Amino acid sequence: MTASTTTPLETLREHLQTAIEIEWSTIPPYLCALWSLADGPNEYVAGNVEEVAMEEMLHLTLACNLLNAIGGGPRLVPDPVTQLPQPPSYPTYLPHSDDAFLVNLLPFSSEALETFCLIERPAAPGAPPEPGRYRTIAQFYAAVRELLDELGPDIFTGPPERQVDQRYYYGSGGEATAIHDRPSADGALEVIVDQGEGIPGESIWDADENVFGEGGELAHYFVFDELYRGRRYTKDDTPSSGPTGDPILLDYGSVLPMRPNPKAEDYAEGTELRELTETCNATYSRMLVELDAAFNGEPSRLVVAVQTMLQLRGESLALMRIPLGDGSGLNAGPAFQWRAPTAT
Amino acid sequence: MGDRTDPAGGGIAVADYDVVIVGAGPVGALLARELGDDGTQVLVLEAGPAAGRTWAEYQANVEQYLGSDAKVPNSPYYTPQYAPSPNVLDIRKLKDGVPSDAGYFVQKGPLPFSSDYLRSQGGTMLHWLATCLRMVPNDFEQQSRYGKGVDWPISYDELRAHYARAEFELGVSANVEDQAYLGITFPEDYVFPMVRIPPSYLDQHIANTINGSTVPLDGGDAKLLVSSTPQARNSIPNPDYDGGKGYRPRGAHGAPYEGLRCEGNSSCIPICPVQAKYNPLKTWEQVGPNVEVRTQCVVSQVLHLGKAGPVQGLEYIDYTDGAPPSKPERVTADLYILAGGSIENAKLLLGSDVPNTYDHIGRHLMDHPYVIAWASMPENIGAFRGPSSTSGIEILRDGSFRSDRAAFRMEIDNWGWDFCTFAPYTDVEAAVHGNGNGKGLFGSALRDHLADTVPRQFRFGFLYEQLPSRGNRVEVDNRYLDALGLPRPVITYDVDTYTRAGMAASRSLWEKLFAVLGAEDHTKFSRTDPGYLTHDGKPYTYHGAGHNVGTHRMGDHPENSVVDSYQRCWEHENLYLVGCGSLPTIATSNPSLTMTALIFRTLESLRDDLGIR
Amino acid sequence: MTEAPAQSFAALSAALTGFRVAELWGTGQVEPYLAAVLATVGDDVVARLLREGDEALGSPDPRQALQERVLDDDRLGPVARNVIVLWYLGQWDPLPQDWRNRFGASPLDVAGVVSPAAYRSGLVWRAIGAHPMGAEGPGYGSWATAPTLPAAG
Repeated sequence: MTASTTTPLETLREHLQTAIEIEWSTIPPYLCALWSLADGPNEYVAGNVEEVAMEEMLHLTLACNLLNAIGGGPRLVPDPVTQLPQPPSYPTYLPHSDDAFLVNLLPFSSEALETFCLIERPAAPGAPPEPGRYRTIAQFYAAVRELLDELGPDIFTGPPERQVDQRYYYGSGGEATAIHDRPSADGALEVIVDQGEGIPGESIWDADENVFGEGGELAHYFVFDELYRGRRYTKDDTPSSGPTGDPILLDYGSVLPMRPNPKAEDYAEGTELRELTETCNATYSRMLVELDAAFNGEPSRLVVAVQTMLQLRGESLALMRIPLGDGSGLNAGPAFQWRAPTAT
Repeated sequence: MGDRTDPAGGGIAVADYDVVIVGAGPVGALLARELGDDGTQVLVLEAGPAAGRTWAEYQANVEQYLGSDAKVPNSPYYTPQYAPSPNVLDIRKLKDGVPSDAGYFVQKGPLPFSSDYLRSQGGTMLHWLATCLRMVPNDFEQQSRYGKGVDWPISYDELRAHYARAEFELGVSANVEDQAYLGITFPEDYVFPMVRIPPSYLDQHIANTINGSTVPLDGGDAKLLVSSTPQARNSIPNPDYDGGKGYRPRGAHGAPYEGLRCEGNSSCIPICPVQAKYNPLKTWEQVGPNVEVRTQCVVSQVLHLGKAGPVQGLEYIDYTDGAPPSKPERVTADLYILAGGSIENAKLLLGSDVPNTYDHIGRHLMDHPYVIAWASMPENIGAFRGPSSTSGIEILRDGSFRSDRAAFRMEIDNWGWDFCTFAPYTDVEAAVHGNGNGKGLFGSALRDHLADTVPRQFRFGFLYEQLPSRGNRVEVDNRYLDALGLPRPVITYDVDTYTRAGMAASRSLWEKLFAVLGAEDHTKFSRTDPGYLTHDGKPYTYHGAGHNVGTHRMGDHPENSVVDSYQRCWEHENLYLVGCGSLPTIATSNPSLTMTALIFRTLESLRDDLGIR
Repeated sequence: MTEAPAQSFAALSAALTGFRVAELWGTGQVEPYLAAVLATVGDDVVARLLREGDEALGSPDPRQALQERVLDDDRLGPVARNVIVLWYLGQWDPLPQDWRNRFGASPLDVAGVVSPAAYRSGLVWRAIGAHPMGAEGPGYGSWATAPTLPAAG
């Protein structure tokens, strides 16, 4: 994955940048699935998918905090010269996943849930990560921990002002903590891995009891798994028992039927759908710019980024309600296409 | 739980509970939590329904509001037939000598008492605006300083620490440097739990235009200053709070990650969809196992011996909707606390014929008559965004003029003309139907018209103090009973010349402000308005501010008050009357913060009585 | 009835409200409002309304045609104005008494907010650069920023 002349610290920073790119690749698919539920009664389902989406945003924040803490700087928008990193274009493979599976923008469906389970799949117990060939996000963060062990405690040289904490990050997922040393870094990694996959092989519940002092919640993988299987996990269930609780009521009829992987170019120039999709793309792009600024020394920019995200939600929902009128019975949707801001 | 007799066999009945609290509103919630945590066995009896026990239940209230035809303060909430609440839609213009019987109140006049409240778990604070202003020091000494009203039996300094505690409990957002005016002081290192709610664009525009300028008032020049309004609304936590320990905003009851910041849903009154605004359900969530809450239980009688002395018990009626009410049940306690709100407390006491030797119970009812002046800015100022009010003018709330006329505070309101003209509904209707005359608008002409006019709407709301008057009162009358056969509140109410002179002074202010802002004045007061009155030949229409105070006021002597400064009833040593009914004057601050601060003073006395600490 | 009543209704509504067809579909209310109007004033009136609307929009001066053939028409005008109010506010206003006398009264012709979703979709809030009160809060701090108006189509 990296040239052998890269230092361990640079390798760690690259890993964290990759983590950030993985998070931002998974958030649009989660949001499409979540927003497609907006007009229906599926409260249990929507609530759980929303919880996962919000926790991914927390993970993104924590990964940025960690990268900033070790003197790096996250990039959420392409550098104007190198054009890197490129925000994902859907369908996409997750970065550094060895092209294991494609991720699409889909409305809520079994197909979407299958993909989400793949994304959140726990590491097989004892499975060693191979550099550049991480099969799961859990393996990836295991590699991060190894690098931290190798580098020791003196790498936390980043300015504290670049940390995003609960002054500006709030809402679902939990608390964003500032990172300034190995213990706080470990705390963040625990949140990311345990909320995501749970403790591999043992428990379906995440470690929130330890981290946040609240009742345990289902790890992401099992949130999607129980929705996919249509039955709830009970407190006593395990990964091997599977869910044995009540059936989950899912009204697929009220899910907004977004056509997979919408693109502005699906519509002719000058049409309303083309214009609305591009407006939505511009809002998404502006949100990435604001997040990039927030995680690069201006945490207060998160205030505006949240406003933009709410605007993105409104524009996306509106698109998802518009029938394409092409006989497919499908609707438009947010395309999540990066549009570089033009100089004003 | 039934009566328990003394196991030692002395035949003396042991009370059912240590404390019984009437009312599960904001005061009941805090008292129950505190006393319960002390180990006290507490029963809370609430006339109205349980509320918002889960996020889903609360969202059902939000949906009810969104679907309501008339979005009045009680519109999101269930009001059962056996525990009716007053509704602003029942306010009528009163004709001489003819009481209005519409709705729950009976209004004898001469002017209508125009506020409402809500009987429910959570109480009226479910629909409050959440403005949290401290009284200014001179408010406590209105008689000594200005020869008006009465003095309080306590001073600002004695209440100061309790104000800070209240600001913590309610979660108040403000910058302390904005709040030290008119003698209000803070400890040197004090900061509020959260930073101030961002002033709206409208606030900023007005502040930039008028701050530092003056207006001729009371024969002199009054300086003007726009101040951010402290409010119980979640904002960015202040890392310096509590000596650097910081503060964690409290989210929604049952959904702790919702409502951690105000999102600008613009429906504070009557319901915040995310619970960024404090409501007592957040306190009910903290109440421990020593507290039992029974909802849909209307306390019907306070049992007493017909003379000064301890209360003997309470009777209450447990009801189910649609079924005949059950027979009254009795409950006893070592201490009784009435926390049902000022009008309900008075109604219960008077209906029970509780000894009232000096005839103060139910008297000195006060509200803030609320006059609105509205206008149109030359440019778009973004009407209908944000909380209802984020700033105001506070520095006119005190001065030597109070010997002659009522003080007032001025709210800057962000929601266009909605309260005054039912904007933007009426704007749409008028434009579509063409004002009854020429052709209506449609298409882009309609859209452009609305875009050009409505965003420029703004208004000022004025809250004037009323003096305590024996004639303004709550009574009971057996001719007017509710569905349980219990008396309804019968209200006599007027607005005196002291307050009307305050309205006149505010007119000078708003006319000057509109002129300086280049705004087009659209204010209209109509004779047919229920709250229409005149002063010096000029008309005003007042509304109620929802601030019902004074009916069991505190004082330093039983001859001039109902309760002492700890809200203990002079004549009945095991009875506390708590809440806004205890305020001897209303001054100009929205009373909820003071009401909350007084709870912590009252707890000192309650704990003494109960032998705690 | 026209061949694609929802499409005709959306096109007519766009012309009456000053919003784009796609924006109206984006509220999710095209079909619910059409159903509500049908239920209240009946097939016959709606068929006429949509046919006149289609023809007006296809004419050389659609605005003029809509004014003359729809809004100034005794039977269609009050219904069209009600449709505008329905879109802008999510509420139905009772039709004028002489309309009811001439063209029929319905027990569904009563004042009221059609549904919470209809209220939330009210176009007035969009037109004034705000949001429905009680929903769609634009986020912390949004009220402090300079107001903007959304671009009209």
